[in-house]
Amino acid sequence: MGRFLVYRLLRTIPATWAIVSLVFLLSRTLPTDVLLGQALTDKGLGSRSITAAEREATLLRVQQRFGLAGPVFYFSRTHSNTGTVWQWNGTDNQYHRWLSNAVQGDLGQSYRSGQPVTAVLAEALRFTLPLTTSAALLATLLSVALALWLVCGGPALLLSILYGIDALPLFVVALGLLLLLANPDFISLFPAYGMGQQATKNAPGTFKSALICTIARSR
Amino acid sequence: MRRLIWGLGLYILIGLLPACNPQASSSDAVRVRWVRDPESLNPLIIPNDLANQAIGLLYQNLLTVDNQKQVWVPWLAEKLPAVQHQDSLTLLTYRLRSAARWDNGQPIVAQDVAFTLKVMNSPGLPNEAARTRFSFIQDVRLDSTDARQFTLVCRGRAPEYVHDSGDYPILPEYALDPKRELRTIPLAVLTQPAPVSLSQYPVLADFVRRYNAANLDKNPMNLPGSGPYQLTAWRSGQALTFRRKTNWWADQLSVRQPPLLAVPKQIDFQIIPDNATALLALRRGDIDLYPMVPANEFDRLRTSENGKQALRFYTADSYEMVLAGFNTSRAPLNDRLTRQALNYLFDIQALIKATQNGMAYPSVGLINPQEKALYNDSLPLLTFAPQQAEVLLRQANWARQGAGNWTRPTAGGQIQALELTITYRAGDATFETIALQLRNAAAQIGIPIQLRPTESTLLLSKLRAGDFDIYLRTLSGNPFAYDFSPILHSSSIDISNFTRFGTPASDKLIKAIVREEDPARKAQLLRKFQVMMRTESPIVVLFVYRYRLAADRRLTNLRVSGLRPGYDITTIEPLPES
Repeated sequence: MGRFLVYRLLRTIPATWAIVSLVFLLSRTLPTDVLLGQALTDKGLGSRSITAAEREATLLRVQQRFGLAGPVFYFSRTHSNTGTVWQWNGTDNQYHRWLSNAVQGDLGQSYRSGQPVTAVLAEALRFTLPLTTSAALLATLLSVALALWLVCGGPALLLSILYGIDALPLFVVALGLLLLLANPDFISLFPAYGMGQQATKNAPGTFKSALICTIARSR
Repeated sequence: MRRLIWGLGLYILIGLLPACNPQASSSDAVRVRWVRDPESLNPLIIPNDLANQAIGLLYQNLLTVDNQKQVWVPWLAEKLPAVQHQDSLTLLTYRLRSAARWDNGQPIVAQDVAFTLKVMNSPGLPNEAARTRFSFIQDVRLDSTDARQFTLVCRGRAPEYVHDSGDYPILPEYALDPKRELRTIPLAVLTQPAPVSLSQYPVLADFVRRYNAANLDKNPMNLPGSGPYQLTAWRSGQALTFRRKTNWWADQLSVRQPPLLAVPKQIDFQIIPDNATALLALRRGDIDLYPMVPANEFDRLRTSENGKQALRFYTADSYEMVLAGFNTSRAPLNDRLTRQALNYLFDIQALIKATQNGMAYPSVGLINPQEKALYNDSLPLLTFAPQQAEVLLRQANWARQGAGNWTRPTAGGQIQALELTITYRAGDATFETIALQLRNAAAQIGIPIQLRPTESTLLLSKLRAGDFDIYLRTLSGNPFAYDFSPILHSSSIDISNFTRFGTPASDKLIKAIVREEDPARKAQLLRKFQVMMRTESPIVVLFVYRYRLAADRRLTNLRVSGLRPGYDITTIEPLPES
């Protein structure tokens, strides 16, 4: 059994490597202009104009800072007058740097917030994990209880209601719950957003406090 | 079974109990809705409007804009700079306020400004945008007799230098360079176009390491500014809390008025991405201020009994406009008569009603009607007139065929058909309505227009590459600067002049407007520019937004304005709750 599990786990490694490599290479084909941010785009009117040379120089500096300058992969193709030329770039390429950092647990930095990706993930998981596990637990308990009740002769109408809720798109259910349970005109039981302002100070209870609405909305 | 149901009931009860408490609100806090996280509060980056607002609480610039009066005012500087011209250089002499102090009590001096400019130009730091924007500042000359006085040496001359030269947060030298090592590197070395290698300057390399290690994106308090607030909490994607400093330097001044006023003891920015949720939060009293309320919700709230009792409603004529642009570089929109014809197919009054519930106003062009001296009111506002469009199309040599479509012969003897596409950001209800209105109006007179809603990143590259016929977008203006070269000068084609418009006459006029310093002559040129733009029609301004803001009744002195964010958070006085 143990050997089987190890074998299955090992088999996922090449697939994972292939997928993340593909995603990495695809992400490098996206335009990097957005990284320049709004400062250099043209949302504002009347701001000082920049020349094409200034824009190129700025873009190059941004790319250098984010490690996006230089060749992407071990080899690259260039077009010249003599035809297509294949060039070997050695290990000084973006993919090699990214992969060697990734296997050491460094997933890079967010372009937007400058934070390590692992920290961004950890922060999101701090809320996602308790919410999803609580939701799964609650859903399991509720479904078992309702199923037993129905088997033991619960009202047939209940089944119709459950079918009705199941048929509704999730955002409708979410909006309905929000307008029903966080509305000052109906039942103002839950916070309308977030974890409540008190939430961060007494964390354990608050996950449950915002549970239904937040789960519904996050789905 | 019964036990199971009891257990389940208990679990839910435990969950609900704490939620029954209303959200805690400190009465001295002003709670504002933000639509998203500001992402980074690094004073060198300032990635969006929200970050700009937050950084304005932590740091101070030399100059700032009084949004309500719509003028530049001194902030850390004593007054606007004295201007001198020397050959091709502009010299701007500033003097800092004598009372201005850092948190540690040290005075803010000219060396801090020099330090800031060096940080803005140093390699290895996230300062690309700042460096490009302020590339006209070449050097700083410190006054040997007055530690608070300095002169910025600027390349070329432009009236905008006067305020642009003071529009960046001043950083404390003592916090990041306590040994004052950066003073050994002249600013002129860093501002030269050729990049400076960090290996040449070990002192600079050390500094860059220290700056990056301070992680200012998320921890701006590692670099305490001279602003009135401190960031006390930042829960990513949820809320930011700013607390008023108890010993802010400007408290010592005898006359205190904006921008040296900071009334709220605490400011909470609550991040609520969804509009419906934000509205609910406002009605529940979880937030006090909801800026940029969508038009429908604003009207509904304004007419509801609950809304009238608990809230106050404000609108302000903004400088943010919605416009349509035509691709002037390719057929069939490469002649001005065809573009003029399309202008008459936008039903602007109906669009203002449909998309903004009437809370927007039309303009003859890029100059805002609020600028009475500059706005060309002799030009008529565009009207919805499909018949006029047909007349213009015929003048442009188009002929309507039996099937109702329009064609014209080209110089090469081929037949050109009048078929267009309209490109805009996908998911934006306002743009969708405009595109549909145009499509229907055009279809009535036999012009097929295809809608091309496009994802925003892709949209930018398509616009830049000129891969469109008509586009829709918003553009922010302001009452201070009139440099149209980024959007309409031929040198900005492939960068930000998406319409690819530019004639020798228009290029000359745009540059003349930028250079002109005399207000009367500038007004004359701008009026001429509006006429030229109406004739050439590379873009058509559909309407200008009115900002809408709903706030708790106990908030006073919001100083609502048409410049973003649309209110002045630091002057708000919350009345005590009755």
